[in-house]
Amino acid sequence: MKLAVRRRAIPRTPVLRTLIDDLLAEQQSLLTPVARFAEEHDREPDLAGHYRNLIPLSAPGPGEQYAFEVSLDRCTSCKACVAACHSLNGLDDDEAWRDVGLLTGGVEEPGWQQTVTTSCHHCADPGCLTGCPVGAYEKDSTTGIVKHLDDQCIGCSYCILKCAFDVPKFSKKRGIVRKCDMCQGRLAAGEAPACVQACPTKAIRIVKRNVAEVIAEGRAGKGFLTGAPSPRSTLPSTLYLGRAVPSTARPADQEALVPQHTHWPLAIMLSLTQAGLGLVIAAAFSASQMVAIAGALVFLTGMAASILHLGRPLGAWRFFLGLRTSWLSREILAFSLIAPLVMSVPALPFIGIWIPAVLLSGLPVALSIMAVIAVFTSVMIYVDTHRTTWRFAITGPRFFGTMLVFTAMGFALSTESLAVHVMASLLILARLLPEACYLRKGKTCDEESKWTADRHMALLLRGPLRAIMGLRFILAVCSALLLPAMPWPGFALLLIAELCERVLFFKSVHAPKMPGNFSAARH
Amino acid sequence: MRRLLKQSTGPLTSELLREPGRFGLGQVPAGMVPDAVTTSICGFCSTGCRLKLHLKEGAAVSLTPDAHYPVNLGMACPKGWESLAVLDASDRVMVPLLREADGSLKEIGWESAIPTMVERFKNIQSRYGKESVAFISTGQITCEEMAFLGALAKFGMGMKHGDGNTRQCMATAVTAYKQSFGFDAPPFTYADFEESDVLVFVGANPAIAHPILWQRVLSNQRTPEIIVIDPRKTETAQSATRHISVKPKGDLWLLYALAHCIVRDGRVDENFLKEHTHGFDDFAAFLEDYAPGLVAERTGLGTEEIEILANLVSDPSKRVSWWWTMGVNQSHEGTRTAQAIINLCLMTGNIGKPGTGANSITGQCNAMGSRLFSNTTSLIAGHDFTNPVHRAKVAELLELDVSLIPTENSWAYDEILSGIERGDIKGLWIIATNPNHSWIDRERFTRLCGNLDFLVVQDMYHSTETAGLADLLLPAAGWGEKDGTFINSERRIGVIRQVRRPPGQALSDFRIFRLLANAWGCDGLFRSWTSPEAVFNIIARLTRGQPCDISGITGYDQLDTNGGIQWPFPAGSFLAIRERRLFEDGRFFTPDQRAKFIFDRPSERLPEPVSDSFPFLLLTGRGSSSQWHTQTRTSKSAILRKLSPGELLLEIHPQDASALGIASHAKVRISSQRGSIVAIAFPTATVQRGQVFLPMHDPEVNRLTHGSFDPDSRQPSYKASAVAIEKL
Repeated sequence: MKLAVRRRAIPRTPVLRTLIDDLLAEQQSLLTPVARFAEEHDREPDLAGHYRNLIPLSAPGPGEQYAFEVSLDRCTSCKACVAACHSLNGLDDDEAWRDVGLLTGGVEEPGWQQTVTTSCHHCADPGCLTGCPVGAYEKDSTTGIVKHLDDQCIGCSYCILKCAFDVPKFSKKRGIVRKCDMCQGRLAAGEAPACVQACPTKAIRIVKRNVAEVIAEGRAGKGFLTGAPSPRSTLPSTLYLGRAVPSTARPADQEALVPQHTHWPLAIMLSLTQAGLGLVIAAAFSASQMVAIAGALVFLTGMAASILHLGRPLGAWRFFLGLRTSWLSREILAFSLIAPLVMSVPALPFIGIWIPAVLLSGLPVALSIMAVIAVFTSVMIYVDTHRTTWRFAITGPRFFGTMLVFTAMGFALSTESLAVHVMASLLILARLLPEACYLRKGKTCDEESKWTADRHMALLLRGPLRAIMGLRFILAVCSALLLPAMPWPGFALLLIAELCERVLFFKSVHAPKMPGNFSAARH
Repeated sequence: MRRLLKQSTGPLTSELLREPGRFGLGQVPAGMVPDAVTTSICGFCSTGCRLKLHLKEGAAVSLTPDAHYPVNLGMACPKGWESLAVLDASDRVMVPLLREADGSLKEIGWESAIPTMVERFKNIQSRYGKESVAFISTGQITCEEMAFLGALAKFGMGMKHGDGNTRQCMATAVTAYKQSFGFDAPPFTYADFEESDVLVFVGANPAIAHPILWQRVLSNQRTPEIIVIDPRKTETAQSATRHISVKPKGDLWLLYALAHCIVRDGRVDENFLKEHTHGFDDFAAFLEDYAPGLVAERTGLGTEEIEILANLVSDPSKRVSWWWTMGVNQSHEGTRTAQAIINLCLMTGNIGKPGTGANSITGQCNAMGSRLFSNTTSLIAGHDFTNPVHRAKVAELLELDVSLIPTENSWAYDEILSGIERGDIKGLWIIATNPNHSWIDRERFTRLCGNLDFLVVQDMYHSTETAGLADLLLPAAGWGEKDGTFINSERRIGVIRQVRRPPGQALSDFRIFRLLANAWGCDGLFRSWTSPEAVFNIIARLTRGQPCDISGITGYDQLDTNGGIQWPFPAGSFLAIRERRLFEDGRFFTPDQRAKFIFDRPSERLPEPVSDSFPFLLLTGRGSSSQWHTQTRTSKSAILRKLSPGELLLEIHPQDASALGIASHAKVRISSQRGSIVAIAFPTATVQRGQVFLPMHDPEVNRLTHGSFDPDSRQPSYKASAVAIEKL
């Protein structure tokens, strides 16, 4: 127990009082001598000599582009490149466009380690660029630098999902993503990018690469970096050289079970639009006004949620700029076209008299075809990310499955027939089967199991995400049991169950990235 | 139309525009173009990089490493880059804080804080004697502040016992140099990294601990052999040409075995031994018992590996340099280990020549300044308290009564703590260090602080583990908020400058000492100690005639314009070369000018050997290049946090992990006889079987460490504690 002192009146000597004041005033004055630098204006950068050999002398010629070249044997984990990128580019407190991760040797060479500095690979076929719905990415025709137009960006984050290397980063306070531009302004002025300037061991340099060679090597899956994501989908231009990497090398963070971002607006949008479409299709066939209204409401709620996903929705009208390459653009188009059709179904009793009978009779089928197309665009958005656990065989059944169970639910809601109710219940239960089977991939075995993306996802679902997984199953089963007796409460439960399923879809995905650090908290 | 469709300009785009920064900076962010620049030595490690600070209206807005400084040549590690960011933290102490009876801290002004401190310390001294108040200093403040603190505490306030956190990092090197060379004199200059043919790193991980020195190693154009002697396959070992994976604390045995082979094969430098050393014959006789085969058990190394190494380090055609840091210093027999390295250099003549030397790379930005000027272990300016001639000289130059200078040495850090335990020390003043995190077996430290009547802590932040114990917390300005000098590992003296206003009423340590001198009533002694530069001139005068003589330095401007100046620099010197090493003439600082061979039998067992209950040996050390010591500063930068692990990681060999059923990322409990903590398992074969590694930056780690000390240097042995691991 410490003795604490009571504050008591201490006589202040006038001298002391003055000294305190003097010293406090002196402490607050900045009188740094700077005069001798006054004349040092407008001269060559001090580091020009250091980086002269680390950047090309001339701009890339036809068929060439700039690329980062990293000498692994010179990278020894000082991480100055990251700090310098942050500082020299005036980025946010925790923002840097370069990162340093770790590769470990794996079975072949257990004690082997290599730090890997990584930034944007300025790919020959950039996933970010092809995925962007509004053309906010450009690949410079001379330098090959993949530039992001910050003011064009609508903050949809699709580029984040499309990049296999986890390069674009979302800036919450701006509602857009930002990324490395290879310090293009510096290169244009004959200066080296921040990371190149700052590397004490000259491990990073800018080189000119033959684009055809980048493409050929990338397509062949060669020439990149063992342990990093495959170069096949986007053809990264970065060259890693200097130290042989064991064939069994793997990222230090490979086994870190870190759930991904939930993307709530997307989870809501996807599950509700698919549920709504299912219900409206059933309503169109069965002519049930209640189901049509419910379906349209659910669908519109989903559509509304999608807007919340955008950091800067006002620029979204430019979505047509991406139609040629972006499934997100195509999805926006498909849903814009189907929305009036969906709304027309509950409105039929009022507007039906003005519509020709031929059109009316064709509506259910037309709606169904359009719905399949719309959901197909949704599916393709995720398939096109090339993430293994979002492949068509997984995403397709999940998205169409939602539409299907809600079509069945719609029919059940519009009829008293027990047979229809039981059919719907069985369908709901059947939908759980593939998900339950998938979990087996995460079963622990005695010997060290080989890592796969599927196993990783299954382990996430069995581990950190087990509560949501459990809820998803319980709600779906309850819905199936409740349906014959109380269809509307059953419907409500199923809606939540499907929402859980979609949350899991996002949280459990294996997102490829460059090798990170072991620590799960910051990998 | 095109403009409507493509917004390639706009407010978001302009946020990232870059403009020429002038002043040789190249492009800088548009909002941060400076109107002036100045320079300052970095305030983290002892590499001593110089940073160029970008000023706007006198205050620093950004920084870049200085390309014209011979140390860092335009480079810095992440800590240096983030030096300014850590000043803006929200947990800075703004006003003096006094602990109330209910345990809370109450804000008081300096006008109460200083008299309270004086009154409480004087009361304690009048009750228990002058020696009952002690201080713990640091390697993080300037030379001028260290000198002021040491002189004020010992000559003004009558304290006898004071030590620094430098005891935790380089006391061993100090002692080894003093005994072998006659003075604490790291002989090298950084150019030696580039001029060496064989570089041997013992217990050192410069790739992440001193990244800018590692830059110098990698810029060596002589295709050098880089040998790392370390139980762990560290970042440095990964990058080396040869890793000697020695058993923990097997280094002394290994070094003796190397010396054995060299003597046996006659690969010694006879001439150098005869002219410049003392005691080699005894050493040679002693070495007979250290044939490689006989030390295999201790070192874990095969005979052949040792023979090859012995050959490499004694090749007469090669320049061989030896470099050590904490793996050697933090050991129960570190002084002898450091001297075993020194012995190897002496016997092969690898000293005083380019690319050679027995070189201790020190830790903190001004540990080297503390070695000379802190007035703790040695009397100010490298003098000896027990030497009446030294006392008289200091008294005369400082114009003080010689009776004010203690005639005995101070207790070392651990002895001061034992003094607290016995009740001999009742008042303690801790400046710019965080022992309640960093001291070995820290729970004991926490416990002992309960015995104190009054604990004063002087720090930048109120959130440090030690500030949490303080009765009185004094708000200190930090690096960037004050002027002064630092001395780096190669003895280079450089200037730091104030480029920021500290928050609230925080004052530089220098100004706090001025207030105290005034209130204590000993300001008469410090009449001329009015500014850091005035004190620099005083302490430079004190070095006259010493091996560290810097009386030729005229002031801060000369230091700035010359890219720092290495000691010695006696009056009348002129600056011919920027990189100077010691002992080029083969004359050492001993009375007979010969270096001494000092050796002892290694102890047969570790202070705390592993046992059935505690079967693993715990090694501790640096975690990453972005973490500094107890992280009071580095944890305040979001970028530095991003570059270090987010949780405490235990490195364990994969086979040990699987034998214990511990999976990657699993939670584990680590227990020692002192306590137990929880960490996340990181199975990696970079550690050997039976050993585990924890980074020292986490406050939990020193709950486990075993408090044993080198008998000569009193430095704690942080890297060998017996622990048990269990899966949670």
